Amino acid sequence: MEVLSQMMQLLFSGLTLGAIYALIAVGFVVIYNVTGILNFAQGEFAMLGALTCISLVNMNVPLWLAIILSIVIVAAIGGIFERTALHTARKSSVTTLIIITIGVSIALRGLAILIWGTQVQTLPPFTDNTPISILDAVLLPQNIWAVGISVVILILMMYFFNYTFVGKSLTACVVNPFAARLMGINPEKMSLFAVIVSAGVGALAGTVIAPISGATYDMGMMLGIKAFVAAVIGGLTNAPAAIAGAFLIGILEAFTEGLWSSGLKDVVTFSFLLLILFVKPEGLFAKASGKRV
Amino acid sequence: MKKVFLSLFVLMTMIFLAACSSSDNSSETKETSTEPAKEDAATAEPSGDGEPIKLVGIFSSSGGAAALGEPELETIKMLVEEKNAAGGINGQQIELITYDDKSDQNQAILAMKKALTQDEATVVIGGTISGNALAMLPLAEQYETPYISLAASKQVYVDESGKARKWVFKMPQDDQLAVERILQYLKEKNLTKVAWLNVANSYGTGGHDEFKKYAPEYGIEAVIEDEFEATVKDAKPLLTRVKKENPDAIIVWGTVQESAVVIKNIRELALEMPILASHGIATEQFIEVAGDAANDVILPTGKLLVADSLEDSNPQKEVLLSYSKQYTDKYNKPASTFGTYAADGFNIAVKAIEAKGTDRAAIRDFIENELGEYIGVTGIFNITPDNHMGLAPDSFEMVRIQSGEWVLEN
Repeated sequence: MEVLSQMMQLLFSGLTLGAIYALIAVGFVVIYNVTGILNFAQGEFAMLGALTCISLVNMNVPLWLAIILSIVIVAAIGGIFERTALHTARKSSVTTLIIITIGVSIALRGLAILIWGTQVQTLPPFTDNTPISILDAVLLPQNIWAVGISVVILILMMYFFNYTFVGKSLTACVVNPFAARLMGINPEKMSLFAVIVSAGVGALAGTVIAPISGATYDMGMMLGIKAFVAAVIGGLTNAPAAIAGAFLIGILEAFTEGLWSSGLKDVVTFSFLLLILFVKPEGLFAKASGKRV
Repeated sequence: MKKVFLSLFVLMTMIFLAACSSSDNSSETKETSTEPAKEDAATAEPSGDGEPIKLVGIFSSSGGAAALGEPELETIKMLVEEKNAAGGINGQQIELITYDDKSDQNQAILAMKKALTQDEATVVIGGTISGNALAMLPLAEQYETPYISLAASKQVYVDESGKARKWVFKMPQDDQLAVERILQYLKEKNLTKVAWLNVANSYGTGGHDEFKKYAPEYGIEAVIEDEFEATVKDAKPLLTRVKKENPDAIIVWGTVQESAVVIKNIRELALEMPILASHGIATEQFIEVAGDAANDVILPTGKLLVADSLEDSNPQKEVLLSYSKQYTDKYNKPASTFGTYAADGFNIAVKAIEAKGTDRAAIRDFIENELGEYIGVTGIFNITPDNHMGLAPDSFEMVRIQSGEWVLEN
């Protein structure tokens, strides 16, 4: 019984962590899918979302409105970022563009220090946060929100990329930008669209995390790394696979920490990443196709 | 295969950047100006005979450590003003020169160099954060000028071979004293089987080393010792192992953000044992971030937070209350522990100058040998040739957080 409840607890924690990573990993995948760029400012979108939301709440804006507003604001910042930093350099190589995103992430962190300082800030939970006890393991409503939101995003993304015209056009841009252009799809517009969407999702991720662990200017970096690992493990081109990868990483971390040692958590995660890269570089859940990570 | 390496390269770059950004916490604001700004020169012309009394203060009053440096600067200004209005030291006015090192080591070194070569300081007070103090102190040794440091690290006043640095004195307590104070408390309460959890950075591992060293002395045994990351989101997996061991108490050694997450998680898992935390969380911010979970957390802290509830017989009570009143009256905000370090530094320097005039070597010798027991705001100092800090674990009080207030714990 005790072992069972411990396992349940580890599973809950793993799912929560996984949900957080998943929301950021989706952003990686969306941008990669359309532009072929790995956007390392992805974690920073979450940071901006969380801190903007906290500021709005402190100005007595109702929580739900603050969340929506911060998603809109960060999506707009994402749009500006795409137009100014990526669009102007669109003729450069992918590597250059990736370096640009790293630069932008550093700039955004600097900006966040200027606006919010280095102090940790916190956001109230979305709903009453009384722990729910299941088989002696506890689950917090905020964790359910985190998992729920990523599952909804997962379904939306699956639907979006497979069943909508815009989603298909987005995919077309990365498979063959030239052919896509011949078909009347404008890859530049699609790139802007992709960055805006992933900035918005990132901001949502930030607002979900803030009540769980607080928010600081430098929270984006570690989130970005873990989400990147999740995305690579799942398969960079496939949003649902990346989300599955994120949950896998979260659960793996929770069980390593719970049954072994917290110091080994990252060792296990990154060893797993190496294993995947050597054995199945296209990602665990990716369909075998000509494309590789 | 090429892509594999690209991915790995990118990942390594990110980890590298992350490491840089987290170790850079204390000095993130880098200014472009090459000279530290001289903020406030010559409060008054020296009026007495002989060498003027030049007190140089170097604080991180802007940048990442501004929250610490600002009250230090304000305290020094307030005390110098007061002293000069009362006629100065032995009839001579104090000339105060302050620099802002912008929480940056390079700026701190430049300011120190200026203080020693151009300003010809009698005494230097400052070095808000350990990195800056460590960068500044070789100059103090080189120019043989007494330097009173306000940074916490033990290395500031003890050199590599374990001996006291000749010209450096330190006002704040060592982290080790907080660990010892916690151990004393555990012993008193007979909580002998404890869980030790620390944050995985230098602050955390430093505390852990002290814990391992002193726990046996107090008869405390750790049934589980582990770490959590500074960016921890959910420590419940770790806590399931703590739960299994069923300790008498849990010690969470970290700073505000990560301690808040871990302590919240402990409450969520409904673990009933007492929670002890480090002095690093003794700020209002912790109460704000941890919310209800902060209740009943017990921690060591400087006496300022609980000055009102100290016994009247406590020799520090009067000093604490008068400092805190003076500061609040002047700046209209609550006094901070960091300001008390500056107050003690200033008062000790004044005592030495009163007794010995402006001869630097005589001032140093006085502080080391003749100061004796000095009742300061931070604690009761007993500075000796071997111990240039001179505080004992009793300079920390154990407090309990109760509905957002700090309550003295007995």
